[in-house]
Amino acid sequence: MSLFIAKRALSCLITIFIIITASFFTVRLAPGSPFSSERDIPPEVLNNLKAKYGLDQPIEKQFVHYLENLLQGDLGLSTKYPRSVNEIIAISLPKTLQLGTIAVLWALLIGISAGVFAAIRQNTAWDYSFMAIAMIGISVPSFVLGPILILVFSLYLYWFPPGGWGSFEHMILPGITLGTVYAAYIARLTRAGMLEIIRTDFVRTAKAKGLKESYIIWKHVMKGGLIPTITYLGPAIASMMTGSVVVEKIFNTPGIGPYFVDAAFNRDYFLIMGIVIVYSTFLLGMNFLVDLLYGYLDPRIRYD
Amino acid sequence: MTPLISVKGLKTYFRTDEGLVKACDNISFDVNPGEILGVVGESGSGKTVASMSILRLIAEPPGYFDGGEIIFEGKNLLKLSMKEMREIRGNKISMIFQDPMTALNPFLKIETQLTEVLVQHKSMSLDKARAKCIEMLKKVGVSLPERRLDMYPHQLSGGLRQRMMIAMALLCRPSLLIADEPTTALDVTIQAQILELIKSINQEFNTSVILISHDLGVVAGMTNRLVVMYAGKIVESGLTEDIFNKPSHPYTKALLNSIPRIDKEQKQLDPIPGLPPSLSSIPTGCPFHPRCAYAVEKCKTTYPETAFITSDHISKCWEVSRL
Ligand SMILES: Nc1ncnc2c1ncn2[C@@H]1O[C@H](COP(=O)(O)OP(=O)(O)OP(=O)(O)O)[C@@H](O)[C@H]1O
Ligand SMILES: [Mg+2]
Repeated sequence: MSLFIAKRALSCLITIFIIITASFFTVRLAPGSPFSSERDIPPEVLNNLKAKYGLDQPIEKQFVHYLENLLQGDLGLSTKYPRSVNEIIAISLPKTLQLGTIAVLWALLIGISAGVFAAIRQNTAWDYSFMAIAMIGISVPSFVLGPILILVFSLYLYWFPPGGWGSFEHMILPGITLGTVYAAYIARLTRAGMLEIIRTDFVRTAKAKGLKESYIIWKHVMKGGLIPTITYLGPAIASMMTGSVVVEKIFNTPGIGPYFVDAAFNRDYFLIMGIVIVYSTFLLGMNFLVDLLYGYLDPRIRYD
Repeated sequence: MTPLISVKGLKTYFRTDEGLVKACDNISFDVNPGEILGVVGESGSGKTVASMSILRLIAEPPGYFDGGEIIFEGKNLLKLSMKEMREIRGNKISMIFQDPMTALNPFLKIETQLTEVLVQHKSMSLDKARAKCIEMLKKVGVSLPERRLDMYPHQLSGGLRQRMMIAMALLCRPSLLIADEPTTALDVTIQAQILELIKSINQEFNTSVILISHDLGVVAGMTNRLVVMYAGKIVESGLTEDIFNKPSHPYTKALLNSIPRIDKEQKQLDPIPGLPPSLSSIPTGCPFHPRCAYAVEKCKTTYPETAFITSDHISKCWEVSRL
């Protein structure tokens, strides 16, 4: 088990290193430069700027330098904003994480309960309506759902603020907007997974033993039935926790999402790299957790 | 002797896309206290459906009971509520299944799967239930029971798993054990051990057993009485001895000729020609007539009346006298 963890941790590190290398050079290869938008920069000023960010060095040197700084936890300076990348992430990421937490909770709560309920009421009106709603949830994009929620719950009902940041209420609508599509997927996956287990011989055995239906669902069906959902949860939670550019723009959330787009437009090399590293660490970390969860859920899986 | 359980005119049908499947069509049989009743028939003849009907484990829909009754302890099981039925399942009537590889939950420890029966039916504490399970595992010949309880099904061999199933079924000392092809999925040597175990349970606990098999050889030495099923119907029933000595239905005869026997000289084994019919398009008259060497014109049109060979040996064949 600990050998498995060590192996997986090592492979995560290698993956991250590959991602860093690939994105470092891809970003540099893209046409344009951090300073190309600001016209009329005298050559000597440009040279000064380049020197400030170390961009005057040969690219291999820059890369080595970047890695050295990274190992000390230094993500470099933003070329656009008068801040270090560390500062920008430290300020914006927590907000995105809070919003992501709301989205994850919403997606899990709604998705799993709807999925389980639809499965145990298979082929009833409940089942059909839940799955129809889930289908809508999957098809409606967040740039449509967000404005609808604002319209109904802010402008009409005055329940929640339409955007901005500051209190718990501010997180609700963006959280729901972000989480709904995941909730819908989770509901469908959960239903399918539960149904697959409900049809097995061992559930028939459980019934033949005279166990109560609620107990059978909870004890005999849940564990196996949730495995497809858990598989999906790795990447899903990672992408909810790292937020969404669209949702953060709609609700004017000062999260990390908008920075990513801006950074890409501005060729803000170090900010792009910083955000890429945050995103990929999250994704790899979540998948790692999911692999561990599998072992807990399914005793047949052995780590070796 | 009043029978322990009495199945009368049971009709278990399924509505399917291919039409109505009469998986059990007017099935009647009794199980007496302490006896082993064999149910034999080819694949698809309705043996499993008949036994699942007793425990009301048939999925409704697509299945439904079109008629009949199943009398157990003075009550008609087909009329009980699901709650009343739960109190019988695993408690008074237990069932073990064909494939012990899939019948146990791979996600749960053996201990959980055994103790939950006692917790449910006898409201036992987990400690007490565990002790009881260990005792039962010893009785069914599981060595190192404490260790096995901590294992998951995939860590056990097929034979051990079936022993676990049997232990699980016996925990509440049921008066009836339904064993649906309990050895089909096992190695031959293990098969014999499991059958021996079922027989000893029958004698030690006085548990009645319904032993389902498609193999007449398996039931020959095990059972007191036999029921032979074909295409959802019972075509012959009686004392096992009588049926082996004087098979009184062409299908039973054919089944007997298709298994090796040591008590009679055989020139060769004869497989039954043709295939069992699809239950959604059963031939008219006697369902066996297309495969029957004795069939006459009447067999094609009219279902046979009951022929009594002795008072409790009956056959559904027009041509009994020619067999
Ligand atoms: N849920 C169901 N829906 C539709 N038809 C069913 C269902 N369950 C059983 N049947 C039909 O009932 C018939 C009898 O099946 P059953 O499983 O009782 O046969 P069996 O005698 O136990 O055969 P085997 O020896 O293969 O176990 C089959 O034709 C099967 O197709
Ligand atoms: Mg069967």
